Amino acid sequence: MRFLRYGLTTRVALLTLVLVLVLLAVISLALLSFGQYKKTLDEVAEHQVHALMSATRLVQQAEGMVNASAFLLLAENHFNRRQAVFEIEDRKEWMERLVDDLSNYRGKQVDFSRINQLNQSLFSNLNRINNLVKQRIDQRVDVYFQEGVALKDIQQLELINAEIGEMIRANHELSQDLTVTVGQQVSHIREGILSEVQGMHQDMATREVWLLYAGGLAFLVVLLIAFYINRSVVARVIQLQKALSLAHPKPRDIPVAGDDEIAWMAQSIHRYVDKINAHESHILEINAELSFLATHDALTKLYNRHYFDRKINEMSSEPTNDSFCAAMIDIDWFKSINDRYGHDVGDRVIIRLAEHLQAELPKSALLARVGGEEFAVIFQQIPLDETAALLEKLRIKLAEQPLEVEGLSIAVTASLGLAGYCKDGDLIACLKQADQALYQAKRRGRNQLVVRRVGKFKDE
Amino acid sequence: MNKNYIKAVWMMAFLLLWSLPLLANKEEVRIELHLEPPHLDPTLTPAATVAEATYNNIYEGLTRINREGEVEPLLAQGWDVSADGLRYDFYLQPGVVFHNQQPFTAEVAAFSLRRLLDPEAGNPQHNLYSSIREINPRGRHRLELVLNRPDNLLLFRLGLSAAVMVEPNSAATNKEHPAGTGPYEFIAWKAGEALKLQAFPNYWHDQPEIRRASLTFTSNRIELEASLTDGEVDFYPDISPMASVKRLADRADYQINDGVTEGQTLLVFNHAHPALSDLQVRRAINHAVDKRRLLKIFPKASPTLIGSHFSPMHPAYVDLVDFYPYDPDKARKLLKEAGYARGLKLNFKVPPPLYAQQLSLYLMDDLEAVGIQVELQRISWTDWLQEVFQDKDYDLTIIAHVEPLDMDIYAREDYYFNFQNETFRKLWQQIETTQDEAARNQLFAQAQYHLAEQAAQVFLHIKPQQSIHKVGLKGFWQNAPIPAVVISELYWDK
Repeated sequence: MRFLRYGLTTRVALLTLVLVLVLLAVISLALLSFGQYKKTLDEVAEHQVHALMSATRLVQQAEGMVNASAFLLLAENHFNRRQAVFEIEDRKEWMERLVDDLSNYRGKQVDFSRINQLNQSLFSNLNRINNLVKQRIDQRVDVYFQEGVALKDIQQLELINAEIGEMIRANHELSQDLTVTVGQQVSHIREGILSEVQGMHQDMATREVWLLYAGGLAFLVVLLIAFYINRSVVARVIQLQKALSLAHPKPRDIPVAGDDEIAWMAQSIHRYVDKINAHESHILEINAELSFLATHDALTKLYNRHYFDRKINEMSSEPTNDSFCAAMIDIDWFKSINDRYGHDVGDRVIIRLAEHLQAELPKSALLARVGGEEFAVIFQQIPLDETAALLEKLRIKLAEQPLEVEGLSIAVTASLGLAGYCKDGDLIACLKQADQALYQAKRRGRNQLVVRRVGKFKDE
Repeated sequence: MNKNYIKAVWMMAFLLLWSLPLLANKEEVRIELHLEPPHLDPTLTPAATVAEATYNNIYEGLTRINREGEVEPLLAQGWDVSADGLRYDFYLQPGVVFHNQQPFTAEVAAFSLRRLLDPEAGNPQHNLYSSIREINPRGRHRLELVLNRPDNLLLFRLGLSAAVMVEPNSAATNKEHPAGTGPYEFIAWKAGEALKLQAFPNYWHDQPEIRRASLTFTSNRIELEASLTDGEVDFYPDISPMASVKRLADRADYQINDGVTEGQTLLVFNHAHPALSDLQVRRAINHAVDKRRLLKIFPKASPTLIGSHFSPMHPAYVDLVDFYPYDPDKARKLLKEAGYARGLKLNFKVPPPLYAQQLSLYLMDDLEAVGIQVELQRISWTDWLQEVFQDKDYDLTIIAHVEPLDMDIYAREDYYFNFQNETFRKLWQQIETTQDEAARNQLFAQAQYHLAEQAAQVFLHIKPQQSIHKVGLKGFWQNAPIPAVVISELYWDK
């Protein structure tokens, strides 16, 4: 559940959702605007234009009605009269439907009772005209085709004609009135259309501003999301990468704050770097120990034979003009110490001797354990006499003071051979001389120093 | 983002939105059918306008009549006929669904045909199918019909709009909300408004190119002319009697197509009227009518005159045009002999078809000229179907009978003509039972002669079928062997 609460994916998904919502809002707004635009257009097209068409057709029909009544007027026989009547009836039927249609107009309306009244008068006049024309046709048959035309008949015909004329003029007036009234309705409809279009334009202007804001908002959200991702993801990854690119990454440089995938990864890296660092220092310690063990004697911590030989060789290969003395020191009767006290005590004796040597010999002297109980020393630029005195002092001190080892007091003496002077080129020969001097000291009864003078001190 | 940019985006969006309906126009057609249908179930009315609106659009039959008047398989993809001609085995098209998603099966086909035959169900053409004795569904898609007698016309008649397949659940509501198996399903229809159809997505056969159709019914001549003038109509199948046909034909956006129908235009007598039951009166009226002058109502067509109830395209046709030559004097004389020297008063109920309206003017003139007082009543189509066709309450009327080979109507006792003639009935029985074509044609000739001789009606002329259509609209039927406007065959020139 941790993933759901804090995961980067969840957060990115939430941000994307926000963006999608904003975009959806923009799209919805646009669609809503389109919808309204379409609705208004449909309204204008369906309703308003329909009403306008009805009104225009009504005017046309009102005028056509006058033409039709002219045909009726001119009808010389019943065929033509009926033809005109058919047309008038058709127009009348349509006009009535058009008026019905128009009266359903939802906008501002003129007084439709006036239109209906005009229509009714028009139609009843036409009915009257039809009857008159019918009479006239019959009368004319009487007048023209019968013998003995009566004056009365001719007068009757004139009366009929006069009345038809009056009716036609009245119809002309009615049709004009109808045209004007319907014309007023047309102007209402036109105003309706204009006001709807105007309203739509205003709506659209508002919508444009809204869309602009919404677009801006969407842009802002994108910026915010980019900023957030940069801050919460990219910046941290870069920080992590920088911390890791150091030669020796330090755990404290690794940003572990937060509780998301990057933080979890940083924490893992942190632990990993910690562990690597721990391993590294351990390895360094081991390395130091290994390198110490390579050059030192494990027991005494003095230089070992290997290091000593190498050093001698190095010195021989890069000769200076210095003068050297070489000394060999061997513990007397060491085997009997081992036999008597055991090897552990023997080892302790060697350690104590080594400590003794280290304490007494100058720091510049190269001291090494070269055998079981045998030590070698190279003195650089120290006069032979001085060296001999030093060694003698050392020997006496050792002989006079028994070594305290594990509660035992063991008297230990040493034999020493000293040779000097030699150049660094022939240190090995010098050591050999020192060794021979040591043997000489052993032969002479041990616990003594034998000195062999083989060359001159550099300054002498 | 400046304002102009936004406006440009708006404009583009609008152009896109608006161009869709423009593109879609190629998938729409507006058809004018003139007569408002009483309802939308062609199995329950003889009104051709219902057939025109629905046949092979909403409804389909086992067979169909194509534009050449030939029978083709439709919902029956094939059939076997027994050697004696008394057993028909129909193999029905599988995978057909009605617009209400019900499947079309042999049971449904049997239901449709039983409903067709049941006199109580109200199919005005049920007599045409009287040869059917048994209707046996044999499995899901096999239907067996057993006949009383061999019937050569059965397959043709099964293709008529009276025999379209309907489905038990929707049959009762087909009048208001039709559901057939056709390529178009019903969307909306309100009285006085257009009938809206749209392509049925689950149609069993190929989808039609025209996706939406709007069928208007403008019976007022003035209004019809105005809507044609305003270009509101893409196709109107019957413009011949319109005075403005010449002017419209000259327009660049319209084209006129000359076609013929099988329809006989008749001045119909109600033989139950005491005067009209008198053969002499009927003959007088036949002599009184100047058939050639009547053709004046067609400004650009000259349809074939007829003298009996038969199509001149049929091989058995006999020319009886001048059986009663125009002779007003003879008419007056015959009337006088019949006892109507002092005049005869008849009502004349005229339905709204343009040809009927126009012809009625001339007919009145002719009838008045021989001393018949005619009371002309212009009535609506619904009123005509009720008063004239149903209630037989009329003296004279005028109508074109557009169903092909429908001479049997003179043999029907209950038909609105009230023509009760035993001789003709016997003739018709013979015709129906005669298999030999020559013998049959001989009988047809006799029947034609008998009707003329009986002056059963004033047989005027074949109803011309001049259609007007927008330039670019193709696929309409040149002729009208049956009343039909098959929308799925229409398409706009690309």
